[in-house]
Amino acid sequence: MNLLATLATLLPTLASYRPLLDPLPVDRHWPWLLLPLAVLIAIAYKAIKVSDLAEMKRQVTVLSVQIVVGMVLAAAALWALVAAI
Amino acid sequence: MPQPPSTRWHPVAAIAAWLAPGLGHVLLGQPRRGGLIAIGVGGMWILGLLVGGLSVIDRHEHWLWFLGQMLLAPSLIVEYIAAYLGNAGLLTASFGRPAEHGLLLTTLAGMLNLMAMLDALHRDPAERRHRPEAGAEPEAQAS
Repeated sequence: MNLLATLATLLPTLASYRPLLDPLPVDRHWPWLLLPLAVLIAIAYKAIKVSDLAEMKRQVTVLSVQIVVGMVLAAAALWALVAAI
Repeated sequence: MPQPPSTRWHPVAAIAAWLAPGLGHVLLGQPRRGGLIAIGVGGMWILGLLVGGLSVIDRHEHWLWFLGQMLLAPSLIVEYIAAYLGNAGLLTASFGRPAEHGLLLTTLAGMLNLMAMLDALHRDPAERRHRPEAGAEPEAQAS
């Protein structure tokens, strides 16, 4: 499991981490931060835009997936462009 | 006869939304929507500070990003605290990916809060109610 391997390498470095005073040591694991970023953007955006809050869960899920898929596709397209040049 | 949408503006709610994300909608009588905005915008801002540290809010070092960050009033307080802690040598400077993500998250939080502020500025407080069924009596409008 990639996530478990990430956590296993991250936990020892977290021992010396002082929240807010030190930056989080995520240099090698930064792509995982895109997941909470996508979900929080979706929550904030849909909380403003959705007229009936009963639809929030479905709308947030759909937008989160769209953002993540969009970022993956954009990354793939840029990688292909760089590789082709 | 359906009521026309309210055209009233709510500058106090917009200022409250700047002071604390979601507070503007709470003042407009929409606590659930305000809570969701607080989770989304506030969560993103706090996550940015946890990832990059307080040093990501720096009006001198990252002045362009600060324009977005200051759309959330607590960033101004954090900038002051970060400057104090930095001068005292208690703050570790942030570089590389953590700094990039901290800047991105806190600036995005500010820009989304601008959306929330504009929404609170002209939102019709009665909009929180479900639309009445066809032929049913419309609910009384909130003042």
